[in-house]
Amino acid sequence: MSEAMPEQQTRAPLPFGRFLLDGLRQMLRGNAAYWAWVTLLLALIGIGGWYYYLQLSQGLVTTNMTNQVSWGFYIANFTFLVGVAAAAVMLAIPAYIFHRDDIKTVVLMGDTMAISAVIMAILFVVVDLGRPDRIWHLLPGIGRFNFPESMLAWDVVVLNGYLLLNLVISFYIISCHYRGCEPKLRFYFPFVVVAIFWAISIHTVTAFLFSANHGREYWHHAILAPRFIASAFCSGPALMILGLQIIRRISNYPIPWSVINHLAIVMTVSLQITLFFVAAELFTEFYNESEGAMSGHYLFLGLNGHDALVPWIWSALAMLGVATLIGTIHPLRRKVMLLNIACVLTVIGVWIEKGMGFVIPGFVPSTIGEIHEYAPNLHEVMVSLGIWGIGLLIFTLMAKAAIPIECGELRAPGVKAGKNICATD
Amino acid sequence: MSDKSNDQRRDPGADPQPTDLARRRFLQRLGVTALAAGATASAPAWGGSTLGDAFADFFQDHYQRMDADEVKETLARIERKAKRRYGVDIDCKDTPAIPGVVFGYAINISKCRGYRDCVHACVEENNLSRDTQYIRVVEMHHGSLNLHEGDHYYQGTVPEPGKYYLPMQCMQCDNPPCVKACPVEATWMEQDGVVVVDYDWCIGCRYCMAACPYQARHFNWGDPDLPPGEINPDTHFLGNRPRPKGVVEKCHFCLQRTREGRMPACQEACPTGARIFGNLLDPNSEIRYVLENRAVFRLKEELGTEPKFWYFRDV
Amino acid sequence: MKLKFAAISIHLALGVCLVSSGVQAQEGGLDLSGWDWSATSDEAAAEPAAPAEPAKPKKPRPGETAIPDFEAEPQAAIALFPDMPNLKVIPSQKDEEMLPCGNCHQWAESDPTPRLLKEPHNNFALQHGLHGKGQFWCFTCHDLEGDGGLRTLEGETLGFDQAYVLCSQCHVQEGRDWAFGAHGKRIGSWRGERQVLNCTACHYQHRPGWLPRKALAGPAMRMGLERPEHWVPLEQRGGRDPLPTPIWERAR
Repeated sequence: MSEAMPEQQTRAPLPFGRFLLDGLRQMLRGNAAYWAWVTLLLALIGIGGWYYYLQLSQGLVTTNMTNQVSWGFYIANFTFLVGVAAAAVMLAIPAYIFHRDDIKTVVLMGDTMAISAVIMAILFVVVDLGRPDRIWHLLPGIGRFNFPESMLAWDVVVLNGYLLLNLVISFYIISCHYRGCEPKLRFYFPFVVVAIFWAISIHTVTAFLFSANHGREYWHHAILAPRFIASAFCSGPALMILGLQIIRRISNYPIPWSVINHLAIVMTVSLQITLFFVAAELFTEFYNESEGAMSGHYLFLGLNGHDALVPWIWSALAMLGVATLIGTIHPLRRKVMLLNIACVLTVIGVWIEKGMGFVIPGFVPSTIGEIHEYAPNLHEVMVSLGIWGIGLLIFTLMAKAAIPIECGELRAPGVKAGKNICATD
Repeated sequence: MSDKSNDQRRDPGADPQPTDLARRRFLQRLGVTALAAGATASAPAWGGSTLGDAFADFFQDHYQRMDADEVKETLARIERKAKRRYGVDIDCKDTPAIPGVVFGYAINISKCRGYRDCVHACVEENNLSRDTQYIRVVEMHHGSLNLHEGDHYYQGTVPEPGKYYLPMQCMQCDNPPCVKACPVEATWMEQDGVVVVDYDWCIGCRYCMAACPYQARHFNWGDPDLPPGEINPDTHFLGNRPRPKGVVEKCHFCLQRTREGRMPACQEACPTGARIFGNLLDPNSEIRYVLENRAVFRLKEELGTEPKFWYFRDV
Repeated sequence: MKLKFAAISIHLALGVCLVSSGVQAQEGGLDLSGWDWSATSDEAAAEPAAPAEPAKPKKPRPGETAIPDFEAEPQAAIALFPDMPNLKVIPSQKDEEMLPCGNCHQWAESDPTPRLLKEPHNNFALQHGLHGKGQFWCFTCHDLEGDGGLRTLEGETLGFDQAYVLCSQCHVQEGRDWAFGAHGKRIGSWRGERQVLNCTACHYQHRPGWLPRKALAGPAMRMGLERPEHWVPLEQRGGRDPLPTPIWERAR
């Protein structure tokens, strides 16, 4: 492709206003199905917004959280989404480090997914705050930021940093493509390398956020960070496989099958590792059950007749097991239908396993042995759906604007509409 | 004891940090606009608060960074707010820590009989929301110190045969995990060893609640359920002043009382004399006698939190 | 032995002043100052009438303790031990109905023989000193000669506000703990001069053990949420005991 692009075009400055306008125009242009989807998301956001308004005016009393289980559905979703965001690295590493050109064509979609996932993750923390009006207390200088002592402060730094990094990289790449030129590797490569390490760090820090609490033995494990990363590399690629197939179906963005295959293998290997980690955890917890194993007991077997999470976690493990089988057996994995089933099972399984199945047992029984069960109520589910709506809308709009640029259909004025870059790259 | 003491605040000689100055200027500018807006709309607006107070609330600084004047203003505003909200005249002070004092608590578990008198004295003294209790008395059974086997909800006649009672509250750890956890430094250890919360700085993330191994932190899920007729008007900024919703609170060894030499409400209420409170730095104090002459234990000592809250038995 | 013990407690509960020298109570310094009449032995639990029946106490539990008089000037304590720190004792309100003895005994002759007490003395219901092998009688502690005040075993007279001297004659460990701060209740301030309650402010001297009482309300449910089932006490919800059986019971 680069030989097709004259050198002076690379140097052409970006018509920024025009770029935004063109992007916006793309977002507002679509068929009925597109608009139905956007309307659905907007409706979700509206409903979520209403329930969030109720929560803001009455306090978190509208949720089912208690002093015993002080984090719930919001933080569970947050944990899951940080993993999804981190998984974008599974496209970035092969694309930029191993120079897999096929993957390079979709790496932007991975970044887009990471951006929406990080935004969702941040939103889930914000809706979990009792006093979102005081969020400026986090700003260094005018506020007071307990860095580097507090792991939550670290999380704020890494999540926002990751968001910024991804925005910068994808903006640079997309704006180059918009001008019809190839992004300069020497400009963006440093950012990419930082972003790769950063991606691992966001999930590590999120794991540390939990494992730092030595009062809660269910979380206080060194294996937590590796386990988080492993399960993130299941759910992230699974979501990408599903997302890329949808994009391929509804647009003319050519997604090479090799990319899907690559993601499927990443997912499979990560699933195997995840199950191994879970098994290691189970062995350690249950061989000689300590008092700290009560939470694990509650999760997997129930405690004193309290077993709300038991069916969930076993179905999650079953789903992950089936997905692992499908992924591991080559003929099965190559069947698109089965692969998609495996992806759906993986996403749901990981969502349960590292969401509610991980956050809640840390609080049950409480640190002083009180058993108090938790299940999200309508308010929490609705607010969460609203946030998922926001994330999906961001992804939809960004992808909607990026795809024509990536496909060479949308170019800056004066730049010849290129061939499908994806095909030539 | 704590390197984050708030004593420089009162020291007029201490140079403010450059960032401090910049921040203060920023806030002042905002404050000026706020006051200007407040002056035009001094009639109650915004949920029973005047616009000026609402702005001042919003931009209220961290307690440790306020100078004496700001503290005075803030305390007056707190009293105004309580008057508006509950129709009660409260007296809010910010008595500083007494030098040379570190508070400690010891509980005689062979004396505690599980009446929960302390629990309710605490609720009333500290203006707690009536769905919150700082003190948790757990009914344990003989032969076990396993908290998971304790009954938190026992009722009826106590003591029950075969049981003993273990009261728990904030242990005022000397190495508090909650303080480390707070992303905005809204909670810290005072010089007298008491871990306090600035209720006007807390953002309500509840990470400290996840970090606390003793379930000693409590969140205001909604507006506190506080009957105006039962408000204790003797309050402290870091202690028992009425709390807003959405912030974390905890036992503070009754700062409003203990910093004036009085006993905490739980000690006063205990009918059996099981509770021994005092200054750990005073070799002649009762608590030192107990610690030096009795076999004592602390809960979850293996976590290295160094609680300043001990348990002992009669010999 | 235990059976006999319970029998005695019932016997005593009926208001008998212990005089029967034939009764041999448990040896080995059973400390009754913290003894719970209902909870210690199976026999006691099986016989709930025992604690409930003593001559009707005038006040609710725990016993007819002396009411501290916080208005009065605290009195400096007599040193029980050579190294005892200084402390002040809160005096008690005076019992103007029964004391001084001369109020009534200027007309009625007093009978110092150990016997079953009748009106108006029967409400003392002495349940103290089972381990005293029948040696306890009113004048073990009270001064027959004077105004009904206290008297040590060595014959020294004491005011009611010095009861701690009397108590610590036998309860040496408690006395020491009280003097140094590990027993008893400090009043007022945690710093400066130590002001403490006298023994009789918490322990009814004629029946020093504490009686069971109803506990105040337990943890409340977070506002807006239903109280979960397991917060209801076990006997009311009729479920199985969630607690593991103690090892000594499992072994059987």
